Amino acid sequence: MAIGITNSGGVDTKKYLFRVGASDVPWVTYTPTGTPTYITSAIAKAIKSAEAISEGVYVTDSALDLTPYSKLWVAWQGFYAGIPSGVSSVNVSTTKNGDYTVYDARTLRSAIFTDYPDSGIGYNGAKLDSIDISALNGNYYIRLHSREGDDDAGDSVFTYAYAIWLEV
Amino acid sequence: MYALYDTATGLIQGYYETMPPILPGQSCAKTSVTDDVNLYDCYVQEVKWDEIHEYNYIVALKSYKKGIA
Repeated sequence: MAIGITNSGGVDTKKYLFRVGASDVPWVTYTPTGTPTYITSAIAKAIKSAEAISEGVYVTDSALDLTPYSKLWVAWQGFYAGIPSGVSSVNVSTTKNGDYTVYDARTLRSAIFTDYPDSGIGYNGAKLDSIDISALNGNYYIRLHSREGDDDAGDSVFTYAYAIWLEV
Repeated sequence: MYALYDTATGLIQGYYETMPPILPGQSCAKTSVTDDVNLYDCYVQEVKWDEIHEYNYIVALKSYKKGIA
């Protein structure tokens, strides 16, 4: 049973896919390249990609019907060390196991992003980004990507997501 | 790479190895992320001034497979 606010049509008007303290749908990891580190804590899903080209992905274990929803939101931060050709992205895709270049809709950042110490949205300095998914109908996977794109020693990309949710 | 985009909408019109000619209504910024503009509609979401390298740098994009956005 999904947790959220339900309208008369039986669809959650705000459906969390994960949030602080809870994972409302099952997520799994997938590694397109290298040896990233996955950190799932009580407050976040985080991926550290460092030391040579590496990319880590958290992906919903099942495809989700996005037909009722118009927006996908993510509250997240990205900490980049060096100039790593880094990428943090949230991809909406019919493909479960793809790298950051495989998507139907995507929001992507390529430099450090944070509103630390606090943007006032309740996630300790996270930025809020959204994707317009109103034109997407049917089942899609949601993926969180963190990629370090060159092989300079010491470069790293640390992508730290507090919550991802859908809105009608 | 350089991305040439529509200043009003942010839609990227092409990626170039060197700085392309910029016409009225267009802007240009460096980016480390490229995509096939024949497959995707890529919109610039945020541009920052890189004080070290002294150029505008695209730090955030939103993109959609063509026919979706």
